[in-house]
Order: sequence, then C-alpha cells, then structure tokens
Amino acid sequence: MKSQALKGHLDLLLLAILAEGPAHGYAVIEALGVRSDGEFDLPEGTVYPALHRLEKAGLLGSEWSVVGGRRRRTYAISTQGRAALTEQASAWDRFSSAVARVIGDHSANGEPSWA
Amino acid sequence: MGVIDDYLAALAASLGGHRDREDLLAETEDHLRTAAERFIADGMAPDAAEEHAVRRLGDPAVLGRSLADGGSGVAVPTARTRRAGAIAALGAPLWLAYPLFGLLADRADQTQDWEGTPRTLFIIGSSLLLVAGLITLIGAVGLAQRHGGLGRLGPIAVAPCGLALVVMFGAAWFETLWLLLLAATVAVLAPTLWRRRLAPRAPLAALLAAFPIAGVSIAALHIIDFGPVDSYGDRNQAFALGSGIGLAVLAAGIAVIGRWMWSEQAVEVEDSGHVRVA
Repeated sequence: MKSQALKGHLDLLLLAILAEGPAHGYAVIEALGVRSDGEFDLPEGTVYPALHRLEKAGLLGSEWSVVGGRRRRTYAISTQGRAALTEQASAWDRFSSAVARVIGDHSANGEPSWA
Repeated sequence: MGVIDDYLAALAASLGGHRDREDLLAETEDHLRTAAERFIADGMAPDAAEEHAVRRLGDPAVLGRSLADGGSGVAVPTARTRRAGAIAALGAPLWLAYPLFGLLADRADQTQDWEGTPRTLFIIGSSLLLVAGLITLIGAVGLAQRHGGLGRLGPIAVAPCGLALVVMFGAAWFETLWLLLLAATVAVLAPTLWRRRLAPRAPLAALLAAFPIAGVSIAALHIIDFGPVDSYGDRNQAFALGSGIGLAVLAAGIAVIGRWMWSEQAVEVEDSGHVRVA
C-alpha cells in the first residue's frame, strides 16, 4: 500500500499493534509487515516520530532496558491509548463498511453489481 | 566506521544539541543493529545487511528533522557552517578593538590635536569594528543555517545584525544604536537556541549577559565619574571601558559557539537530498 495512504491511519495501526503487548520500535515495524501480509511497507523512519507523538499525547508509555549491550526503548499502550484505539477502530469500521457498500462488487469483478 | 556508524554520525549532526539527542541516537542504533542482525540471519552478508537496514530507515537528515521537529531547512552542519564558525571564533577578539582604540584615542586627545594620532587611532578602531561586525554576521547566518534556517526566526534574528553593520559603517561612534541592534539579534537567537538546546548553553548565557553587563558597567563608570568629560559633555572613556567589558563577554560567547560550530563533523547534502558524512 502506498505510504501516503497509510500515514493517515498510522496512529490506529500502531496502537493496534501495541495493544497486543509491549514492543520496541523495530518489532512494531516488523509486526506491521507480518500482520498485513507485507502490504504495509512504509518508510521505517516515519514510525519513530509517530511513536514519540503518541507517547507525548499520553497514548503510549515507554521504558528503557539494556539488551545485548544496547539500550532499548520498549513502548506499551496506556489506558488512554486503549480508549483511543477503541474509538478509532470503531470509526474505521463505520468508514470501511460505508466504502465497501459504495464500491459494491467493483472491488472483486471490476463491474458494478447492477451492470 | 561502518555504514551504521556513518548513519548515526549524520543523524547526530542533524539533531544538533536536541535535549533527547542521546535517547534518539540510542533508539536508532538499536533499530539499525536489530534490523541488520535479522537480515544476516536471513542469509545476507554483514555489509549488505547494514546497508539494507540504513536504506530502509531513510535519509538521516529527514529522520533527524522529523524527530527534532526543527526548522524548515535541512538542519545539518556543512563545510560552510563550519567555516562560518571558524571565522566567527577567530574574529571574535576584534570586538575588543573598538573600545580599546577608543580609549587610546580619547587619552591621546587630552594632550594632542584630534587630527593627529587620536584620529588615526579612532579610524583603526572603527575599521576593526567593521571587520568584527562582518564576521559576527557571517557567524550568525552560519548558525541559523546550521539549524535549517530556523524558519521565520532566522531572518528576523540576522536582520538587526546586518543593520548594525550598516550603522557601524556610516557612524561607528553611534555605539548605542549598533549595540542595541546587536542585542536584538542576540535576544531573538539565543533564547530559541537555549530552549531547543541547539547550541552549548554556557556561551549562549554569555551572549545574553553581555549587553546588560555593558549597560551596568557604563552606568557604574559614569556614577564614579570615570575619565574626563569632553567638550560635548560626554565621558568617552567611561563609555569605551563599559562597552568594552560587555563586548569582552560577547566576544567570549561568540568564540566558544564558533569553535563548537567548527568542531562539528560536516555533512554533505547532495542535490538529490541524500546526505552523507564528509
């Protein structure tokens, strides 16, 4: 998927990944790729500013540890983040259902169902 | 240095003195080395794995700007900003020339005709003042460029410094005006750089303190009736010494910031937007 199209939904995707459990930045990026079957291949450099922004907004928290001699920052979703995820996921469901209804059969056959 | 080290050096340069610089670098290093380890585990050669990891993370200057939320331009030290720093540092002592030669000229004026030695001393001091003003303008422009132009703030900060240079050229003896213009540049630039931790704080504090110190020194020297009063009723020596004390603090601050700019590793920004450590 084009990274520009993804950007608008990046916060929702990051919150959804971290709702499964705490993870460091690289693991979040990896999970995005795996869970989308490789569809979401956005520039990795865009993920960290988004994670920092979400942390600043109180939707995520982070902790430092030392792994293999390297400092590692692990992110975890906050209570506020879970509430935001529920709200954003619900909005996305309404939006995607509406888009699916409008598109109808075009997405599968390339022809509208009434044609 | 490996590809990852080069990348981290370029990112460090882009982040400047950002308050979370060490954390941001540590997080980026962990990302790159973890990614490279995964690629190696998948069968890639170590060098190729590092290059692939770096390529996937994107341009370090762009990442640095996104992380630091800095100015509008590419905030990296370049050969040009390093040279500007070196010029400012080397030329900083020239700020002492004008008050020093002013003092000497006024002392000579007590015993000699103004058109002789006093005037020559004054002209030498004024000429060196122009050079000091010019090198400071170069340093200020370089410092703004070092931080991506600092958005609208860059021109707003540099303009009074340029205007001060014009005033010096037209009327070097109008110290109050060019000192105030210089103070305006410092008042705009230094707090921003301080707040964003974009430059060493000690010399920024010196720059901010220089003009109040000059004002207090001039006032104190007038209170104690320092030096003779000329035919216009002015105490030139009190003004020269007082402003000299403030300008010495200013020169020290400029010298340290210039030296810091020079000490940074230059990063070359290519036309394609790609950035590499020089």
